[in-house]
Amino acid sequence: MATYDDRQWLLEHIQNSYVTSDDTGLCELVVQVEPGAAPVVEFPVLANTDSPPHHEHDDPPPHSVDIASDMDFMGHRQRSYTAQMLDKMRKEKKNASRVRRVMWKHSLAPVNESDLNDMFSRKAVISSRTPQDSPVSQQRPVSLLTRLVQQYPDGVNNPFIEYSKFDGTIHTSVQARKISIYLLVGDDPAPSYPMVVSIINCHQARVIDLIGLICWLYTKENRQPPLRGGVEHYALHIAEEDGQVDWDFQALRGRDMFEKFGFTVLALVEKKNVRGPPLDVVVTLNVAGGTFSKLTVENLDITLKDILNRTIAKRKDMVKIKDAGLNYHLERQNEPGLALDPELTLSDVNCTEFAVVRDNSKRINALIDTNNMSTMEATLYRSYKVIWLLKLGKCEACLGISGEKMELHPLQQKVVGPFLPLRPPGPVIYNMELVVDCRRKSEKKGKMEVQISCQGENRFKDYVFECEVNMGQEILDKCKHIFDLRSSSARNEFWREKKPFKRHNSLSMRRRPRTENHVNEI
Amino acid sequence: MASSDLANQVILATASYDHTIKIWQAHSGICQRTLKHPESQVNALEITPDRQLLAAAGYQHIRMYDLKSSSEDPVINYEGVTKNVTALGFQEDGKWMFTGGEDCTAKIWDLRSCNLHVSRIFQVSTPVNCACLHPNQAELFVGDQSGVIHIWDVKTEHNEQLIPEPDASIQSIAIDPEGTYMAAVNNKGKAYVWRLSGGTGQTPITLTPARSILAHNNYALKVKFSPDSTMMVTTSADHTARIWKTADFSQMTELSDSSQRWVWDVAFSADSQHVITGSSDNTARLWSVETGEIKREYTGHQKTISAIAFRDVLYQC
Repeated sequence: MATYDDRQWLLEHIQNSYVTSDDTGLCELVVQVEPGAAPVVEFPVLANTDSPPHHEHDDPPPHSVDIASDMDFMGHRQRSYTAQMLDKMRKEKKNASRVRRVMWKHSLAPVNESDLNDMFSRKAVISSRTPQDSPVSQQRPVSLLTRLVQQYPDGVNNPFIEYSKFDGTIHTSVQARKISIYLLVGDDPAPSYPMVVSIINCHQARVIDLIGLICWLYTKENRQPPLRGGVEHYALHIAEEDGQVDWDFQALRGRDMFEKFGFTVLALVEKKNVRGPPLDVVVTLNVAGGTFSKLTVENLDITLKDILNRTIAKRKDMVKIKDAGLNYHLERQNEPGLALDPELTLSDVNCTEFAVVRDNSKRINALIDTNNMSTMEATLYRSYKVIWLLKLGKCEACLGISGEKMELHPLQQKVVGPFLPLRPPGPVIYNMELVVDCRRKSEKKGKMEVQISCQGENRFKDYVFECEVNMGQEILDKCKHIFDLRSSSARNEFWREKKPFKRHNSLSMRRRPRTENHVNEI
Repeated sequence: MASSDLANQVILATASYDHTIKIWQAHSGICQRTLKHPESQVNALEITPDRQLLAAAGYQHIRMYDLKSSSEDPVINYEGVTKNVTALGFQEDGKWMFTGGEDCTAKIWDLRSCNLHVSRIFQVSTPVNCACLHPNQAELFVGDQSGVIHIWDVKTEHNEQLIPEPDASIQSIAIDPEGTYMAAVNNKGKAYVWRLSGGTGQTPITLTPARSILAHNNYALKVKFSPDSTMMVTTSADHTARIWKTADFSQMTELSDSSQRWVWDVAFSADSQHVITGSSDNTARLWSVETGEIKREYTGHQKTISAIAFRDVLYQC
């Protein structure tokens, strides 16, 4: 009967009934418009006051009242009708066994008097109204609902309420997807059991809506710690069944439709950049002689004097010089000769790379000393065209080095050798962790031979190639910077193996310096 | 949820044509549970006097759900009725349940045991639309489609008839908790009020016509009295609910909202300060009786809310 107040529905129903029950074919002449397409004309005969003119069904308007669009069409292909029916019957049977059934029966047999009196005794009606002249009548009783409504004037204080519509736990008829969510919320998220979220209307939900739904449930369940921001402060990451977050993958993009992802386990992660304290700042301080120090400072408000003092305190050689009465000042790395005011802060100078220069002393042009390659630059990918020197012959090759890997690709089809032309070797790719050494082998006639050692499966392998001296120096510097930046167990092992050998061959028991520019700390 | 908790809780349930019943946290508007009511709409919804079960009258059955459990399926199913069950209520001690239906009967179901030791049936000539039990727990007022109000003594099975307006279907009947008024609304939008007296001990109930008001210009759907007997609320197909003072039956507040449609059911809070309505726009609303403003909206149903059940707790100051 509730559909009676929907005129559109009524008209469609009448139209449809007419079309389906008409044997004469007259309906084709009479009913020209597609049923459902025509808007409802405001017939005065429909006495109803102001029924809404628009169709307010959730589904797209079905042309026939018998055909309703089914949500089940979305997503997976359905199982056969029989299988579904069997499943449904099985479930119903199982449920029915739990339901107590009481069948109506009416016995005309007389019921004894005491039973009747027990059942149908007439009660006295208690008047709850206090007499008008009573003094207590001023105070009205209050109900729990009224109290609660007054206590929570805004109803629910959950900013994520708009996402509650995706909550599947409060719907029974709609197909919901259950996803286990691990919560990495707060400063020190402890591993815990996942929260099972059931989401509906996946075809409408974006990833951000799922985040909102999680936040809604989190807030609703009053979980601790409280959330610190809106949905944009959180991200969904792919996670393993045991809650291990797969950091190799980026967070799911907020605007993507959730439907396309098949994950059953995810992790809600608080975004780092919105987390309270800003990240620490790393300052690089280059000292004469090509060495440098890296200093981690808490914020940009630190003065240059502080930075300088901290640097000196960490370097024994500088402490000695300072004790001898000489002082240091800071210069911008790219502005030699211009001393910076020690009272300036890091944010004032807007620079994180400095040169530590002794007072009354000048910086030698860094270009001559080193290749002016910053550590950051060193980790960027660069490729060099070199001549790969093989046991039998040589070939042109492309050497690529980045902070992550080293690769060597032969460019020629044939290896030029003293004998027959040979097939060139296959390309070589090493993770930078496995590259253990890079050194100058020899230098003659403006050419340099560079040897790069890498850890193979069970032994160290050497790759030798020839290139221009400048290029060779750059390769050496690049590798040096990368080695200094990233320690690796393979490299340590290489040097451990190398040490006794060196000792054996060398009269001086000193360990060969790893690089010319030794770095004290990073 | 322990059973003792339920007695001290506000319980709000709404039933919808989407074949579900939702249980709400009344003060926040959050849906707490959804129960399945498959294959049938709910015509009437009621909470048992002990607040343990929720009864839903549908097509050919009355289903009862356990309010304590988290199951979405019913626990008891009362069957054997041929057509829609349209009216539902309980004796105040939970000894029996009354129903009215389109099978033109009102029935009394014995709830003390499962085998219906005592049962009563009252046959009328047209489908029963509504039924209301007098606070003395002895007389059932049954309204039918032909416009007759039957006053049926459930013990003696003696009955009387009352016809306020011939051929105007009686949609709803209400009696105030003090047993002083009886009101009936019909499909012409009219509300008829009688003053009641007697009905206790051996004195029979006497009815004196008190007032007839054109409460709405369209179908009236429901009538209820406030727990303090000072107000009466009527709901209608004209998209409104109206609150009337029982002192002079003048209109006090009109509860209307632009998005509200037919208002199918209504309930007062225990202190008579709030009213909850269920409407065809899939939304239930909590209104302030005094100001007529909406305090909360309960959204989540996919179709018309056809019935609501509400239980509150009253604190005596």
